Amino acid sequence: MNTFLRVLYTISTLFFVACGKVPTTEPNQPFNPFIGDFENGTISDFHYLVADTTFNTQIVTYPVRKGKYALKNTLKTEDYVNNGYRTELAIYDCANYKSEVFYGFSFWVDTNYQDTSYNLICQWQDLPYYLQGEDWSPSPTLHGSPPPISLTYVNNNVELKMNDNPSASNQTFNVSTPLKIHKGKWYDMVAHIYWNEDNSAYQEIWINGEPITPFNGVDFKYYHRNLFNRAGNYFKFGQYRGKNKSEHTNIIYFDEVKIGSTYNEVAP
Amino acid sequence: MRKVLFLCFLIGNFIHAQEENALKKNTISVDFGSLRNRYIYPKTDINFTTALIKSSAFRFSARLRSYGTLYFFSKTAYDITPLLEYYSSKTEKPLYFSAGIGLDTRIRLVNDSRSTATSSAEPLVNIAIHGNYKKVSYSVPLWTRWYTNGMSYAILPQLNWKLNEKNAVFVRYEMNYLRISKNVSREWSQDVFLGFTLNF
Repeated sequence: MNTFLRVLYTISTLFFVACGKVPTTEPNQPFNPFIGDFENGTISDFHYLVADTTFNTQIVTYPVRKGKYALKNTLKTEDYVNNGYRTELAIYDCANYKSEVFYGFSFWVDTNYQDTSYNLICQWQDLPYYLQGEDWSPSPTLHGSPPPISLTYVNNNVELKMNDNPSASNQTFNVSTPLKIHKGKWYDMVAHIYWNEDNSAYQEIWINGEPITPFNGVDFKYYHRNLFNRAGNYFKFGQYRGKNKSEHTNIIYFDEVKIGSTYNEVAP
Repeated sequence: MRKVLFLCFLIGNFIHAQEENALKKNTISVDFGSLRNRYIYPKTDINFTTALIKSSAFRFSARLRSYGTLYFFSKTAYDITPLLEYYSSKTEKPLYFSAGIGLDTRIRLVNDSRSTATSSAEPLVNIAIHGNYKKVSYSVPLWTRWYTNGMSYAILPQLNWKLNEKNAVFVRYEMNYLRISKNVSREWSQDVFLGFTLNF
């Protein structure tokens, strides 16, 4: 066999060995609709970022937004999990590239809640771009930042915050005007989000049926990119204080955690 | 790490080079990259290229890319890319070409239920322009890769500055264009690498 035939044979063989998919994300992949109303008496439907599930995440019968049960979320001063002070429950595969999703839950800030510094009660955190070789723990750690979107409880208000710079830790900005939260009362949050890595992405948030995102002249969609890459985000709720250690144990109750395709599907 | 790099440097300086033509020498290069799209993510490469094989115009090369590290060892992701190339010239000239075939092998070891990454190997065709003038040399490879659901192109221009007969430093820019055929999804990505080469 001469050289030409050998090369031709090799090329032909190579073309038949293509066995993988293009390492990029297909848009608008279906997400998993989700109902987490705690009516089964457990938190088994969620992924945990919790120091002690028997203490930090208890199912209670009071206060309850609907049904018989709700979640009592407790964050103690020493609850340090995965590089931050947190008690969070997570839901994956619900914020995919170029998908439109509604999220809803109810929260009740305990009357004994004492801190005024920031506490993320829900966030949509970015993911490593696994398809392109990334993972959570590069060495050295060069990629660490606040999540692209979070609902933050700070100084007795809730604020919708966004972060535009995946390589900076201090460039978050407020999207909403602060909304005063009264302790010992249920609040219903609904978010309508279109996920994209450019500014066709939008977020539209209601608290107790009233929009907290600014009016843009047509509706209350705030257009701003909300993905750092096409791996999408994932949803977490609970309490997250980053490296900011609290001097107090704080409690927030949650109920009616839902993910769906319409407002009515997720509104409590 | 410093010791390893220094050792490579010493070996390169002590091994006797038979000819000044770099195409007739083996080459090892290492590089470091971290500027990725809109954020920083570390990667490293080790690339070995043989001298022209016997009296032919073929060279064989293999590149090991490690993700998520600046220290070459990754727990989660590697690419291994062997490549056989035919050169239009057996000596370095201001302008010459190469063309070759190879495999782009992705090894993904990440253990995370959120990950959809899988290991695989795809055929790769490379066409490259090369040039050499005094202390500067360059190459501009264009890679084409085929997948079961699409294809990708990558252009990897590299500019070398020769420190001496055996050593050079370089900067390389990589731009990838990924295309899924079915729903016409496209993505551009880019990286920048700094490194050095050793001819022996």
